[in-house]
Amino acid sequence: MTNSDKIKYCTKSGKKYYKQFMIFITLLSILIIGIFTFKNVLLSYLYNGIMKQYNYNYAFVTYSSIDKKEDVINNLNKINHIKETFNDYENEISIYLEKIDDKEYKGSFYLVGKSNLDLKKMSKYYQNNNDIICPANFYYSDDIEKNKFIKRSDVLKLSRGNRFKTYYYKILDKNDNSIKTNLELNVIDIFSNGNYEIDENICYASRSLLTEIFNNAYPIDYFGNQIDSLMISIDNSKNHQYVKEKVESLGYDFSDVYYIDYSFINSIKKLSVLLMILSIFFVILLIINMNKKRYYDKIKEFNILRTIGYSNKEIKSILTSDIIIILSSSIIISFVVIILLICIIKLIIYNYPFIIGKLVLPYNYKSLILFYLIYTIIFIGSSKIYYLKLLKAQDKIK
Amino acid sequence: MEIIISNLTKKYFKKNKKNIVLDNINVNFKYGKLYMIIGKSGAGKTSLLKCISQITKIDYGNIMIKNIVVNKLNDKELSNFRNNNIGFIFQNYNLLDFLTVEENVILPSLKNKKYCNKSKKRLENLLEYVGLKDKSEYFPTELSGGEQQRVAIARALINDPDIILADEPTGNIDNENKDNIIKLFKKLTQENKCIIVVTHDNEILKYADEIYTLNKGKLDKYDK
Repeated sequence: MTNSDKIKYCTKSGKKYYKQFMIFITLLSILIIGIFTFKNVLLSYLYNGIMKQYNYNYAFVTYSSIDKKEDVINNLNKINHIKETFNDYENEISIYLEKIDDKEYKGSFYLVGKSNLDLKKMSKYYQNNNDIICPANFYYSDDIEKNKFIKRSDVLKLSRGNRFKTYYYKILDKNDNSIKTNLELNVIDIFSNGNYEIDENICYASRSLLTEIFNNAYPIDYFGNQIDSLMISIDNSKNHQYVKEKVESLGYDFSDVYYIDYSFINSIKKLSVLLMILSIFFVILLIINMNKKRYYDKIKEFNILRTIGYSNKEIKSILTSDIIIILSSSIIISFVVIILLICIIKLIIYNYPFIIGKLVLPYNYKSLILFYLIYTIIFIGSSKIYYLKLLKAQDKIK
Repeated sequence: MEIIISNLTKKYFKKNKKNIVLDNINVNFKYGKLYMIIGKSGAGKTSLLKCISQITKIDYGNIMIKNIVVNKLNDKELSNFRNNNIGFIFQNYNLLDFLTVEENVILPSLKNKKYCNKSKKRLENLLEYVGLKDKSEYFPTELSGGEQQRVAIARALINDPDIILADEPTGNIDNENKDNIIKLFKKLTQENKCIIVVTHDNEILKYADEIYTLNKGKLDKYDK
């Protein structure tokens, strides 16, 4: 048979199964992408701390330096439900990230001080003025609070030795004119986000660095007074609002520190992996079963071909064409459907522009490729096994 | 030319019990004749045809066609030989439901790339010969039993084989079509083809040049 005859023959003989496989693989691909996308969306919301059921066990209290720190601490300690006040240097500076180790990035983070924090892996001494300690997972997206959907690729894994090229804005006058001021920082240690109740994008610096930046960024005559801040811990998230009202009634500024429940995040991650494994297992079973049915339906067909003079090799060649047509058509169709779905979702829900000519890949294209690879291997493997059984099913024609 | 069968033996095993279906058969089938083989159900008539065409492997003996011992051929050689020299007609037609009449008939010729204009013309002639020229685009499920059998006959003839093996070709069709088919076979013998028909139908025996009976594995000539 010529190749065109084979394709024509296979298309006619396998019409029913081509449709079944195309629909089956498309739906499964959407399921795989859906599992990971759902997980990532959920986790990004969790990491953002947008969901209100999180525990707000920590807060920043900012006060004018007219007030003495001891007085502020005393006043705070009188408020019910405040468990602890961290009375060390607690200034908080907003820093913008430009580069990490000469690679361009964009993002912002808070630089704070906390020398009495019990962080096991933290270096106790800042050897150089520009040393900082950072979380292991760093979100360098531009505006974390507004950005509802953080891609996993935006999570930066930090390690000791990373060098940050950053900048902050030095206010020049009361008209908010400011000048960009560069600052180079060295990561001397990292801490695991999962162990401590800390905001994701906070890095720790020495008192001297914080004081220097703070004094530089906010000149005395702009505010009239310096501003300092403390961190407090609240005994229960239910009392968060009560504490906030009390602190603000004292004339201090109260701002939230998000606490992420990592156990919940970890269980989401484990659940998605379990769902993925179950899906793959289900896929394998279904493919083998569908192939088995397909081949048993073909016993009579192939015996007829043998009778009219087709050798086993020729029949195998027809089967190979069949396999190629099924695999390629089902994978291509499912991929196209997924791309279209993603474009529609991005346009409608996230209002992302659809740029013609730019490749639009699903966020979890690696898991999709893995799925297609498993599907191909299982399909070809089961086809070969059933083909060998077909060879033995001779002499069944009447 | 003839088909020479010597010491042909075929056994089937089921649950450790041996069943000798064809027992040391020796017979010659000559070209240009219509042979009919009769016998009870389960006597081994279909098995004999399958052994001759090597659809089923024999256990002992030889089958020689055109000076070639066909039971010694490998899979590729055998399939080529079968494609070029043997046309098989089944009792249940065994057409492929997803192919049209024309595609079913032309299928054997696609194997050896014989599907050129010459074959296409032969196809048209064959379909006219069996009276199905107007139904070439029909699917087998849209045809009657007799029409399907005629398609099967056309398929068996597309490569112009010298040997036609027909297993109960008139089993599922009406009397009128039955006569037409047998007359067609008679016509083919005039083209020096060897036709071997297995049948239960006594009515068509009168058309045979020679009749054989198969009983308990033994093939004996039957006097009309």
